This record gives sequence, C-alpha cells and structure tokens, in this order.
Amino acid sequence: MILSSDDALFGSAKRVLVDANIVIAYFDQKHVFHPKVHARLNPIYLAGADFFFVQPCLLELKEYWRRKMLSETIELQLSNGYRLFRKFETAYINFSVENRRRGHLYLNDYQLKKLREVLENIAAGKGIKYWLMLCGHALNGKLAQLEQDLTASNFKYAKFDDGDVFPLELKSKWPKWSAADLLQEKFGLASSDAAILNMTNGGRDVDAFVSNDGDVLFAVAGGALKNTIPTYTFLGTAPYQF
Amino acid sequence: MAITPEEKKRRQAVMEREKHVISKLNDISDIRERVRRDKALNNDEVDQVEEQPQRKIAKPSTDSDKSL
Repeated sequence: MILSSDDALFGSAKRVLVDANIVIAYFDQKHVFHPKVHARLNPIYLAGADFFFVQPCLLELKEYWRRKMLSETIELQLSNGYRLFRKFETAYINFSVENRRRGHLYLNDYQLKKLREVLENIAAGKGIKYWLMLCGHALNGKLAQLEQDLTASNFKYAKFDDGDVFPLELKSKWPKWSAADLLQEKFGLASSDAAILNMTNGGRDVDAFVSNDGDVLFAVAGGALKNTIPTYTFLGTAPYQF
Repeated sequence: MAITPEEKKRRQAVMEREKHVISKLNDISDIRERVRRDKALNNDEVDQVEEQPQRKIAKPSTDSDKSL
C-alpha cells in the first residue's frame, strides 16, 4: 500500500524505516524536498516515532554527498574567477547547463568520471594533480563527518545485531541476500534498493516505510514489501499503482 | 502514541541540536577557504600545458603478425 506522506496514518507510525532519498532530502538544505520532509517527519518524531536507516542508505548518502561537495567546489572555483583547464571547464559548464535543465542540483557519477578523464589526458600529470587537489578541497573529512552527524541525528542506524531492529535472538529471521536478489531480479532494482526493501521486510516491528524513489515505489506497488508495512511518499501515489 | 514529558523534552533537544548539525554540514566555508588559499594551483600554467596524446590501447595481433 502506497500512501501520500500527508496521510493521517503516517502520524501514528512508531517504527519507520527510511529510504536513502529521504535521508538525503533531510540533510541537504538545497534539496527540493528538504522543507517538506522536515515539516512532516519532525512532528512524527516529536510524537514518539523512531526513524531507522540501514547500511545501504548510509552508502547512498555518502555517494550523494561526494557528488554534492565536488560539484559545489568546482562551482566555487569558477565563481572565484579561477582559470581551470579549458577542456575541463567547458565540459563542466556543459554538464551544469544540462543538469539545470533537468532540475538536477549536482554532477552525476558519469559526469564526474568524464571530467576526471579529461584531466587524465592533460600533460605532465598536471590534470591528475588538479583532480587530487579538488578531491582534497571538496571531500577532506567530509564523509566521516557526515556519518558521525547522521548517527547522532534522530535517525537510528539499524545495524545487524544492534539489539533493536535486528536483534541477535532473531538471527534466524534476519534478511537473507537471496531474498534481495529475488527482488532485484523481479523488478530490475538497483542492489542497494533491493537490500533496503529486504531489510525493511526483515526488521523487527517496522510499521512504516518512507521513500521518494520511483524504482522502489514501483517495486512496492508490485508487492515487494509485506502488506503490514504501509509505504509513504512525498511524490504523490498515482503513478505507482499496478 | 503517548510519550513521557521527559522523553518529549529529550526529543526536542535532539531536534534542536540537529538543526545546528545540518546547518554545519551544509556550510562550505571551510572549502571556500581551502580554495582561496590554493589559488596558486589554479592555474597559471593552463595555457602552457599541452594535452598529452590519448593513451594507446595495444591492438591484438593479426594472422599476418603470427606468421612472422
């Protein structure tokens, strides 16, 4: 069952597993859903609900933050009027224009790879030196800080053997990789999405799931989650009914 | 769902702290400073640097090569 995040039932949830895109929107102040996610989740938290995230969410958040920091650092260099390698600058500007047109805030993984390849072909290792400097400026200490901040937030890290969502005494019921594989094979999901859904199914007393990911919602509409776990989304529900 | 007033207070404190955490996490003034300090690296030599040729990928040997 997929419901709007505005649905009153969401307000009575007690143990909510959140998808990576919700954590991302919660932490990135520039994200289009940032205000809406806070406006909805904060009162539910204050009413006593617990929010959990699983390891694939953390990895996706770090991946997003890597792209965010690198994009913002290149942008800073350009806005400072620095002269970057011509081909690199041209490629970056083209990608930025394309991303703005699509409503994307940051460079994607493919674009970052292409930019690094441009630099790899600049003579005498100068392009590589620039790339490493860029990484140092953009990322130094940022990902460790991100993990620390996330685990100190109102989202709880649901690890195996954490005694709460996946307690040791229920080890025989912990999610199995093979079940995630089946979800992936049936719906063509990304590995991390399949793992998140599988862990939601296998978590103790999880009574709600929240996601803004179209692929995940598609799979949920097709029966990927136990029907005791309603799914909420900020995207609207109409396109995801099978 | 009933929670105790103490628990509510604790949660309010978590959220208050979290506001600062999120604001700090999104603050890139440290990056701005690193970029500013390293201006020299960016990139007086741009116009003098030439591109190196694309890396060559070895071609598989042909039959005629084998005959050699």
